[in-house]
Amino acid sequence: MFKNIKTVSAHCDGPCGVYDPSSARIAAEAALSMTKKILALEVPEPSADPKSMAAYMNTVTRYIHIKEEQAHIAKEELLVLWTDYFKPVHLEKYPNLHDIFWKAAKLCSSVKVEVSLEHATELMEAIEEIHKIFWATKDREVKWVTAG
Amino acid sequence: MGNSWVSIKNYLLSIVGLREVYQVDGDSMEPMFYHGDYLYASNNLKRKPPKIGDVVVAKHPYQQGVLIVKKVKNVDGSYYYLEGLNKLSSTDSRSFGSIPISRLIGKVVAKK
Repeated sequence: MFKNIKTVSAHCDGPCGVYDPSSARIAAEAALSMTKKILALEVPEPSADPKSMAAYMNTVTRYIHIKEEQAHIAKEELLVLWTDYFKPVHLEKYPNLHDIFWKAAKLCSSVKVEVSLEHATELMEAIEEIHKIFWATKDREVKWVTAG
Repeated sequence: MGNSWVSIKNYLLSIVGLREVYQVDGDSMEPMFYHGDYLYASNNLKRKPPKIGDVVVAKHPYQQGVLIVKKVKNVDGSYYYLEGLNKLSSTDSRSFGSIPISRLIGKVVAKK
């Protein structure tokens, strides 16, 4: 009916318009993996070669560092999605959206601070729920996949 | 009946080039206009320059090819201070300052 309809921008500057919960999923999955690896580590016997203890300390420190880093990345990715992608119209359709994101962000903090398989798993479940809502808002069916 | 007449009038004016139709992208003009809404804008600004309170379509001050829709908050000579209604989601004259009237290209007259 109308030709040459132009678009007028009504948002903040610099929106790339590319959003995808998979970036949060990858980070959360890395944090889950590190949590599992930390829990699977075996502490060397006190009588073991000092090199063993040094290697253990080095490994567990690296695992903790990666876990905390990835949990924080997951939180940042979720916050960007929450505040930049989702609009009031989405909240009307998904009234518990704020609660889902708030709990997911809290889980990121827990996963960062603790060594909790339970919370790391719950974070993945929360991101899966966000994944389903996100793609439903785009009328697309995108399968939930994990790397692990 | 009134709204129907306005719609017909704007539609006819758009055919003869006296109205432009725009689609809103973003949420900075909520609750007046939502993402995806269509707007009619008059393009005859020389005869009737926008005044405070009008909603205008303007060329972005530094992003080539980007058009913005904002509300006129203040007018100082030929410079217009524009603001979005949803200030948390708007980049406007608060950051890029007033823009000259030469960059205004339309005054929003109705929602389609």
